[in-house]
Amino acid sequence: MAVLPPNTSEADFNNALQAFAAAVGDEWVFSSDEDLKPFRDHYSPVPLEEDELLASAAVAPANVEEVQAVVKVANQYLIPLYPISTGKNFAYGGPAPNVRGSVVLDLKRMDRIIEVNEERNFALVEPGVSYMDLYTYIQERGLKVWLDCPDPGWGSPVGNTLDRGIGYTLGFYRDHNAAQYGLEAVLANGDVIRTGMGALPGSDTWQEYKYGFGPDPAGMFSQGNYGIVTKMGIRLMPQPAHYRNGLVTVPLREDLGPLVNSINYLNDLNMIGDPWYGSPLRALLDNADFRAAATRRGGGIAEELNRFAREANLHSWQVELQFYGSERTTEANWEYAQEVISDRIPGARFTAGESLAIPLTPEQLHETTGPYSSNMRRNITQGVPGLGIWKNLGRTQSLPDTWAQGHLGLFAVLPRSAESIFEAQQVFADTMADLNLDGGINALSLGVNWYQYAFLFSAGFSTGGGNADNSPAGKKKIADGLKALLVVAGEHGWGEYRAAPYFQDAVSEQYSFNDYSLRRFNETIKDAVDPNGILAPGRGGIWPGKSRG
Amino acid sequence: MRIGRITSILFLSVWFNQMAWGQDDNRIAHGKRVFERYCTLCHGEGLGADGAPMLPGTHAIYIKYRGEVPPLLQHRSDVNIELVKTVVRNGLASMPPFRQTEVTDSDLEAIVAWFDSVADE
Repeated sequence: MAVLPPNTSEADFNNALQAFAAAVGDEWVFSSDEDLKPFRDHYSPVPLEEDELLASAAVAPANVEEVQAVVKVANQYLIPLYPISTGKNFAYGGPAPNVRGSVVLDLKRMDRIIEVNEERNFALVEPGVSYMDLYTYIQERGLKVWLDCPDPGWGSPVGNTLDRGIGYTLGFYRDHNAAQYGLEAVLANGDVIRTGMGALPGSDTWQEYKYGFGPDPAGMFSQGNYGIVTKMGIRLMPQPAHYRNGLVTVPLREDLGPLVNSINYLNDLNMIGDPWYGSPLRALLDNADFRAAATRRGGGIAEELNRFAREANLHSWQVELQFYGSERTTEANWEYAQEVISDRIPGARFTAGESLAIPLTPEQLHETTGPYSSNMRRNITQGVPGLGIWKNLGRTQSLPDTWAQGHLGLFAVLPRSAESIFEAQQVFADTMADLNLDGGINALSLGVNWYQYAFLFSAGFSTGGGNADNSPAGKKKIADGLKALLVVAGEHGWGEYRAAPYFQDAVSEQYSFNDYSLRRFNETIKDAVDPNGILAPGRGGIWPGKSRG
Repeated sequence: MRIGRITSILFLSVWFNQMAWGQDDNRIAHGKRVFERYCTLCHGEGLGADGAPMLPGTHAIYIKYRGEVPPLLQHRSDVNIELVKTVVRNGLASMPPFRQTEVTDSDLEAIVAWFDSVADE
């Protein structure tokens, strides 16, 4: 074994491994170097080998009772546990722990789909169930409910929800933590709790009224370390009858303001699915003069960029809209969207996309020759898990001997306004130029609206083989740069929504209101419910008392 | 007595053979099921998402070997258990490793048995 848990002797660790084996069975305790290889973060951003977040062992219980037994052993030997669901949260840590030497609590064997209810539109699953498992279950039974999947869709609803993952259909479902409806967790003292109506014996509304009575602690298990989630309810979208999309373009740079406001209006009336913003001017980035204007220090100048747009006969911004409902309601919503936008933006153009009965045929799912070039990825708009995002990774025909492995970047939470976008373009681009990093930010960069009520503004880097500088020095430059960017973003009131363990303390550091009163509150709870600090210490920037000094 | 013993031996031999055949069939079917659960999202047949000509893993193999090797793993003759274990447990390029809790070594052997059965067809 290459790594020991912190402050644990080899003799104690060996005793703990034997106790874990007694709890879950010999074959489900992994401690050899060979066995632990797949518990590394394959896309790790950590620059130096000695800092890599390696597990000392992994333990895989099959049920709640075995989880409780593992927790008891961890308390006895004061060994940190790091729970994972399917361990596919790559680039955000994957199956690797926050603390080097932790024992990974691998919940993959707990893979029961306990219920899928197509009349009341919910599912109740264990952590080892993947999106693909749940999708297959629904398809095989012909159930008329949809998932809202992340992309890539190889992870689990429980794990993705607990890291506040997102999807691409209607607003409520896109926010996976919002669509979480009731969970069961094993606490550090071995107690099992159910949130909301799950706490009321005999209740049949656990997945329908998430609050129960009194405080609802379910949110504390997301990006937190207060317990091990062993069951979770998720709301499912009833399968709509029809899907329609359309493209909107607006001519001027300053039209972004009324465009965003129009989309906010439609979005918050739940009339549209995930809106995908873009800029037709990206087609001009190969032009050196335009590129200079788009990457100008201090931000883009509207007059100058409008002139390029006019000369190229291109509009400045676009947004793709999608509609779910019946054929008639989607048509009416598309017409109403045109009315709302036309009233606010002279010169807006509208191109109807496709109008398709659901479920789409395999041919329709793969169809890419719509009325306009689309940024949307068809599978994810239809709740079909896949690896469509891999079109941006892996090998390409033009570079067959190289590959991009993953991404490493920021996703800062911004207000849904053009002003915030223009400010973020300038701040991120100038800061990255100062750091000699190319994160691809320019005067055309936009937020994504995965969360219904906020933009996420990203600056990303490729990691992995090929052209990416994967040397320790190259990775360190990016990692250090991202930490510097986090600070600059925080000074503007922009924080990260999610981060790999390597960055979680730096992200947490930005949430400093009233001398870190929120973090102190979280730490107080941590110390009360996990006095030995055995559950995922450091996750979400929350450290137990013994680690805070 | 002797005829009876020979008959018994013949019967047992046929029975064991049938058991073995049955076990092989089960193993192959299990291998196919595991492959479909964990591998086809990337290494399956058919079109990839959003205009990609193949699924990502299939396409990567096609690109890497410039089409000179069948891009579907089950159609390749050089994929043995050692290669499968090495790649699955260590990952390769963009492909992350898979843990024993997802696919056991026995599952991997069953997958290779399914590969072999496809190659024999």
